[in-house]
Amino acid sequence: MLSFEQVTKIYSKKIGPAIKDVSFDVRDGEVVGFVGLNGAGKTTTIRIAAGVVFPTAGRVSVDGFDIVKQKVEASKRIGWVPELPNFEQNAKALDLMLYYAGYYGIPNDKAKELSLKLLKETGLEGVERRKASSYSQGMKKRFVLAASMLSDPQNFLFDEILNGLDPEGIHYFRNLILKLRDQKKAVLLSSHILSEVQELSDRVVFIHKGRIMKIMTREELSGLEGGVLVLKLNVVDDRILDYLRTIGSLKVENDRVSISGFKGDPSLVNQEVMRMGYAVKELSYHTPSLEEYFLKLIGEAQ
Amino acid sequence: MNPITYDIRKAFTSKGVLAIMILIIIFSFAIIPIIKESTSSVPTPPSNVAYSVIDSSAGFQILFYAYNSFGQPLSGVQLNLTSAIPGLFSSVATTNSSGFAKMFIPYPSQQSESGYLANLEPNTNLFIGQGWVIDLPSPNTTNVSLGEPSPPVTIGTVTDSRNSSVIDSFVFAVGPNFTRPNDLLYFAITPHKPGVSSPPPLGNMTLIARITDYTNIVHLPIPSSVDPADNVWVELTSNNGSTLLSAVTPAASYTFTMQQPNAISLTSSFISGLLGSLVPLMAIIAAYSGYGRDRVSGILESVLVRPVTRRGILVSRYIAVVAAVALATLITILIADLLVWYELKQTLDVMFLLGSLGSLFVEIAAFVGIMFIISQLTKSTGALVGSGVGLFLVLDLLWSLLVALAIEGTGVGFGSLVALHIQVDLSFFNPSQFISLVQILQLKSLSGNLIQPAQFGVTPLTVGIAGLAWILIPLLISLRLVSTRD
Repeated sequence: MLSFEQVTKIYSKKIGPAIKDVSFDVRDGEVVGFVGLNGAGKTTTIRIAAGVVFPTAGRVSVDGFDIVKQKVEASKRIGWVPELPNFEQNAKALDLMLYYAGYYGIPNDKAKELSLKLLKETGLEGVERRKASSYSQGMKKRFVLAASMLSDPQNFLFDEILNGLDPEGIHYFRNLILKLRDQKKAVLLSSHILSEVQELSDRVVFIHKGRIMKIMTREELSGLEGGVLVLKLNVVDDRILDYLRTIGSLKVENDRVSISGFKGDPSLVNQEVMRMGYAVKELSYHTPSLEEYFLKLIGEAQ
Repeated sequence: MNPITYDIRKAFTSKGVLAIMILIIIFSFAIIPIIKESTSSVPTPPSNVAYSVIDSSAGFQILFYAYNSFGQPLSGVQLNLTSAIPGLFSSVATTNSSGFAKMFIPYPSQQSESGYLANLEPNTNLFIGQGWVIDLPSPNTTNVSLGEPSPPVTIGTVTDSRNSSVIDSFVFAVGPNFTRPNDLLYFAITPHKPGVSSPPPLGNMTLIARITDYTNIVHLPIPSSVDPADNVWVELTSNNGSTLLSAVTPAASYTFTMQQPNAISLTSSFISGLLGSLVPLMAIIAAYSGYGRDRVSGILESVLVRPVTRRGILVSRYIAVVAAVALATLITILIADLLVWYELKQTLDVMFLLGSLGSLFVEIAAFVGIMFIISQLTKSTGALVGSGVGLFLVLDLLWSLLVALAIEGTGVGFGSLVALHIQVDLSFFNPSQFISLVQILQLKSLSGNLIQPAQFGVTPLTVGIAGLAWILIPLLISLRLVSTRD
C-alpha cells in the first residue's frame, strides 16, 4: 500500500510548490489512475514515492515504511517505470539486471536465472545481451519494467508508461496492470490516455496545479453527473413525459426523447415504459467520458 | 553481482581511464630510453659535509656538519667512517637536528699514512658525499697540539637564501676543543688574474665578516662581470692577526652550475612527475564517468530506486572509482618499472614506489571527492565537464605557473629560500601537490636542493594530517550535499 500524507515539494521558492499537501492512498489490489495536465505535479509525486526526489514536507510510506527515513525497506517494496526510462546505455541489459539484483542481495546465479525469466516475460528474450542503447523506446520501458520486478514488489508506480508505445505495447501493459491488480498489488498509474485510465482504474485522483482536486471511484465517476438516455417511442404524450421527467431533464424532438442527468439502470426504464403500454423503438445510453469530466473539472478550477 | 564490483569494472574500463593509462605508458616508452642515453651513470653528489678533527690524546674526535645547498643543517644524515687501510677502524654517527655529528676514533693500532677514507651516506637513497678523504693528524707528532682543531676552518659555497643566482661563501669554523670560534676575521680581495701563487698582503684585502659561530654564510662582493677564470683570495685570521687559512678559489665557484643527475633518479622524477600530473586527470575522468555523469543526467535514479540510500550509492561509487584509478595507477607504475628495469637494468626504489603509490592514492581520493562535490552542485553535463577541466587546469596543469605568479607577487627571487617556502606552503592547499610533499619528506630534497623538511613545515605529522584531510574533507562534504540536495 502506498500512502501520501500532506506531501509538498518546492523546487524553487521563486516558482512556488510543484505539489502542495498531496494526500491519497493506493491500496493493495487497487489500480489508481493519476490524472492531470502537463506540469500538474503527477511526475513529481511519483518520483517522490520512488525515492529519487526528497519531499519538502509530508510523508510517503510504502507498506508502512517511510521512503525517506526507511529508504532501503521502502524501496524493496516498490517498482517504478518512468515515462522516459533513463539508465546506463552502454551496458548490456542482462549485466544491468545482475547489477540491480546485487542491490536486492540476490545471489548471482539466482539473479541470472531470475533476470532471464523477467526479460523473457517482458518480451526481451533474445536481446538480453544487447546494449540497451540499441533498444527502442518501447523495449526500454519493457526493460525497466523487468528491472522493477526483480524483487517482486508489492507496489508499482507507472508514470505515463503508455506514451510512445505501439498498440501491441499498450495491450501488453494494459494486461499487465490488470494482472497486477489480480495479484493484489497496489498500482499508481499516471497517463494522458484517459480512456485507458478510465478502463483500468478503480479510483482516479485528479491533480491540478500541484493540488488534489478530486478523488473518485469508477462508480462515482460514471454516476455523478448522470448519462444521457435516449428513447424513441411509438407515442409521445403527456403521460409518458410526466414519468420521464421524474428521472431527468427532457428534450423532445418528434418521437425522440432525450433524458439528460439520468442516473440508474436503463433496462428498468425500458421495462417501466413498456409496462405503461408504450413501445420502445430504440433505446441508447451514453455516459460522459473521463476526459469530458476531467476537462469540466479543470474548467471549473480555472 | 556485487554493485561495487560492477562499479569498479565500469570505472576501470572507462575510455578516459584506459586512454590515460596508455598515455603514461607511451610517454614512459618514449622518454626513459632518452634519459638513459642522456645521463651519466656515475653519480656526482654535491659535497656538503664540513668537518674538523682534534687529537684528544687517546684518539681523534671528529665534528661533522651536514648542510644543504643553502647552508641549512641536514639532520639524520648517517656518516660511516672507515679506514683507508682495511680493518684499522670503522665508526658511524648520525647528524642531530642542528646538522652536527660527533665521532671518536681511537688511535689506530698501527701507524697509518696521511689519509683515511670516509664514506658518507644519508639514510635516504641520495648520496651527499662518497669517497671522501678525511685528513686525520698523525698522532704523537710534535706539529699537532692536543685539542687544536684541524682544520680549524672549512670554506665552501652555498646558494644565497634570498637570491638563487647569487653564490655565497660558507664558513665552518671551530675553536679549541670544538668550542665556538673566537672572533675570527674573514678577508677577501677582488678577483684577479691567476698566476699569483701567494696571498696578497692582508692590508690589500677587505674585511668581509667577523666569524663568531660554527656555521656562517658570508656574501662576497664579487662583481657579476667577473671572469670565471679569475681567482678570489680569502684569508681567515684570528683577532690577533695570525693567519688560520689562506685559500684561493676560482671565481667560477661563485657561479651556479647544475649537476647532472643519474639516470635512475631522473627516471624516478620523470615517472613521479608524469603520474603526479596525469593521475589527477585520470581521477577526474573516472569520477565523471563513474558518478558525476550519471548523477547530472539522471541515470543514477535507475539505481536510486533500488533498496539503497543516496549516501550508500555515493560511498559505493566513491570506493569503486578510487579503487579503479588506484588499480590503474598501480598497473601503470609496474609497467613503467618493468621498462626501467629493461632499459637501465635497475628498478625504482621500493620506498620511492610505496611513497609514490601512497601519495597518489591520496591525490586520487581527493580529486574524486572534489568531483563528487561538483557533481552535487552542477545541473548539466556541460557544467560538470567544464568544472572538471577547470579543476585539472588550475590545480594540476597550470599550478606551477600560478605558484610562479604568487612568488613573483611577493617580489622574492625564484629558487630562493623564501620562494621555496611559498612553493611548499601552497602545496599543502593542492591535492595534486601531495606527492611533492611526500617526496620532500622522503628525499629531503626540494627543487634540486637538499633541505631539512621540518624547516619547511613538512613533517610526517603535517603530511599525514594533510593526507587525511584531503581524503576525508571532500568525501564528507559530498556526503552532506547528497543528503540534502536533489
